[in-house]
Amino acid sequence: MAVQAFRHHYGLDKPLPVQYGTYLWRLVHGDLGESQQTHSPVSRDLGEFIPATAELAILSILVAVFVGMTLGVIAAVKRNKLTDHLLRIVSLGGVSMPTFWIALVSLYVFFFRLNWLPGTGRLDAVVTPPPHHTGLYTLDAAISGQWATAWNALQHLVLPALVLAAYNVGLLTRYTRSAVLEVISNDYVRAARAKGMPEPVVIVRHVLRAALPSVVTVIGLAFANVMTGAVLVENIFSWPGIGQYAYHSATTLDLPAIMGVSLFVAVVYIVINFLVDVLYGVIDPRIRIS
Amino acid sequence: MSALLDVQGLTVTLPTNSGPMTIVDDVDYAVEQGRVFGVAGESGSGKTISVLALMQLLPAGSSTSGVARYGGQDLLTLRSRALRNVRGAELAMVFQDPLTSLHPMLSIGKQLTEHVRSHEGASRAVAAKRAVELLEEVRIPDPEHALRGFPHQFSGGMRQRIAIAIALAARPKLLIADEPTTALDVTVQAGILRLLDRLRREQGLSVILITHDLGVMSSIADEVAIFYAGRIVESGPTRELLTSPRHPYTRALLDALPHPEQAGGTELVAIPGSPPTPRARPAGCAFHPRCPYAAEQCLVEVPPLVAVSASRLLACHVDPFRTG
Amino acid sequence: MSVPAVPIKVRSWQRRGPLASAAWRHPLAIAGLVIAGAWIFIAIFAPLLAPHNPLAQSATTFVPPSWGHFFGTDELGRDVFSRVLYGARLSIPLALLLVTLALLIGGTVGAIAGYFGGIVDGFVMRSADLVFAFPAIILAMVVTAALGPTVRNAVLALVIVSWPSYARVVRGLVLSVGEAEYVQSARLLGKSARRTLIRDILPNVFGPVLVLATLDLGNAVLLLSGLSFLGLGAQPPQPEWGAGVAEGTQYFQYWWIGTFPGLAIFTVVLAFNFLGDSLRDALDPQSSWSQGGDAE
Repeated sequence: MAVQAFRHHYGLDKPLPVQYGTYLWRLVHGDLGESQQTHSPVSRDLGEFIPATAELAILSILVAVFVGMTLGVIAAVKRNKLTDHLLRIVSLGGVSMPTFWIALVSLYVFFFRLNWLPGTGRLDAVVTPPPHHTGLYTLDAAISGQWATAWNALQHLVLPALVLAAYNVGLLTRYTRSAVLEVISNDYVRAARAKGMPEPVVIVRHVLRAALPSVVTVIGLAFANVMTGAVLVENIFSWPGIGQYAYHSATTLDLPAIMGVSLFVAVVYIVINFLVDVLYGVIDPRIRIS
Repeated sequence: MSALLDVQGLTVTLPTNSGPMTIVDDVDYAVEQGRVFGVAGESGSGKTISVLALMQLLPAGSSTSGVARYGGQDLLTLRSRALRNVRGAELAMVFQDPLTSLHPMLSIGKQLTEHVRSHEGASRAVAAKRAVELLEEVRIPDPEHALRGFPHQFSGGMRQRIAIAIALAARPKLLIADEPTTALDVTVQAGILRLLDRLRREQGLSVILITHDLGVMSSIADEVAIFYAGRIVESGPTRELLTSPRHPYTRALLDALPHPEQAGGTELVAIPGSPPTPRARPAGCAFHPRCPYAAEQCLVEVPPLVAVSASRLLACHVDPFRTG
Repeated sequence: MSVPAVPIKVRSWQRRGPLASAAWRHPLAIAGLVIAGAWIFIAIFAPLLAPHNPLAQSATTFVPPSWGHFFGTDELGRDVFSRVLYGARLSIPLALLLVTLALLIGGTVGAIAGYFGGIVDGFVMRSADLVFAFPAIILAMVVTAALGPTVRNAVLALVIVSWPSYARVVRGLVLSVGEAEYVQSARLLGKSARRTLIRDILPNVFGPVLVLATLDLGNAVLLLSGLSFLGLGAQPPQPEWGAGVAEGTQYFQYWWIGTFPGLAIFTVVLAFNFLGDSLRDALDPQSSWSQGGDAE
């Protein structure tokens, strides 16, 4: 029977500890099993889809951090004035918008109506992907000097990255504001002003620096949000990334693929947490291991 | 000789949840060049706020009135560029707790040089050289290495020395030291005070020294002003004021100091009652509820600060200790 | 003694919170209340308010917004306005159900874990960690796909994904309150464990959990509609908002099909977030926007 064959093929008829052991053994050897839908090794699938999502995630996080932190600082400096209240609404708005809806609306407006940006996919249909170095089309094209391709890839990247950033902008505005307000009344800030330092320098070099550790904590959360949002965004923009892969694996109950994706996510969390810890040490010398 | 800093009628009001609160009430004093001017008083007497006002470092929403004349300008009305030029390069401040007044994440070198480069346009090398000289001046060992260090790596006393070095880096004429030794051990205190005294002698630095410790005052201050409830009640040369105080509050403060010669078993004399909170300052002379010499006039009329001799100012209707 | 994870102000259970006086001074809370109230009203009275039957197909397909059809019609000639109104009858009660279940299950489990500690605590926290290890949406997708894509299973999947947050918060609160002296003395005086839990600990746990739940309502609506958008929740022809947006992506050029359901989601979530944020102001000044970090 088909079910028997299925179970035998996946070793599901063996006792549980054996299954677990086999999985770990194969894992250590880089074998994540084979995907049911693509019929190719999960590891190869991951290798194909991860760079697309990475490209999206990196740009999205960069935008979110830059915009969110700036807005947060402004809100803190203009505390309780109109600007602050408006930014509060903006921040709450950002975390309230359904990602898939904003994706649809922005595609409609910027692609369909205004034609400022291209539609779905990573490149126009007629453009060939650049030679593979990192898998990030923008970087790869730039490395190979294919500037037209790089530009095209960037154009395709902008909209999904911005849509993905919306939630995190809201999040970071709020957290940056809190962090800045916590440090802005500290003595060393007053001491910096007492030295005659111009206010913008005080804000950036003294205040923001002291607030950074709290903000960096949120970066981990921001990455988690990006991965969740990627599932929806990649769906609408036909972006061939991990989000799409996860969706297809989940809906077809492709067990090896699901495990592969989960493993990938876990690894990303660990790496991000590690990087955040390292970042703490860079920012705050009191934390460094001497 | 005209005074370096001449403060007249300084009044400072802070915003609070229950409305504006007057902390400093019509204060006059003058600081001479090359002298240490001591400001004494208990917490809440307004001494810190009065000097923060000079550099316009008050919390948002505060208001000040009066005049603070320095080098032909009124410090209280300076704006933006002019204010920034004064801060650090003319007046500088050392705060009470060096652990919180030094930035924990910036190197000592950075904190020593950033305002020098900002004020004087000095290059990195020039500023670094001066930083090393300053650290030597305040007796920090191995100054070159210290430049790359961070505040948490130094002891309390060294941090305060570094804070003083930072304050002096842009070559100000007037240093305001707010309780510079309060957060430090007694043994370390003496070193800091000696340092301030040496700077005064060698560089002609003028100092406003705020402290509640009369002992500290007597060791290095040339003149003293006694603050009580937001006003100055008495001022004059330190030695003279502390040996023959004219104001009942000053006298009570001195009486309350324990003397090593006292026989064991003698009770410490405390001033009855406690200083009023800024909200609850009594009418007339603020000290009258606790003053054994209070007269009818003291309950209703604020005693003006007047000269009672060539160098002494006193705000008391009764003046019970006048000589002659 | 272990360090409590969440610092709280412990109040005796007689004192009321400062909600009443603070409320009218916060326009955001009022706006949130009004919008949420409006949607709840719509959810209840949709059959009376909707001009058409949301499931009724007609020949007038792809009609743009007009007087006859405020939000236009979709590919089967159904009135989008009516579908949006009826959609409230799905999203809002489901979100409420989801949050209530997650709160009850997670809260109870967390309280037990925090109160009894030891093996129970360990077991609960390991399970919570296990859930946290999987990204929410992937876990939810797997569960719904495995059980069959229906609204009921979507809610179940999301409850599974959401309970650990409540468990963790409640556990932390129970631990901190448990450390409070007056609770310890109550225990010493011999009040039974359950009475202590209910009488002394619960009122203090109530505030922060309420804030969490209100904010989570918005999240719940987003997740539920997200799953439906992916085809894993509400199935056609149900007028669910997320599914409506999915429809809109198919018929791209007829912008009204997807825009209005999505706008509905946005306003509802925004309202809950306004409310939750204002509640956070009132009950926990330290993390609120109006004070921000340390109050001056």
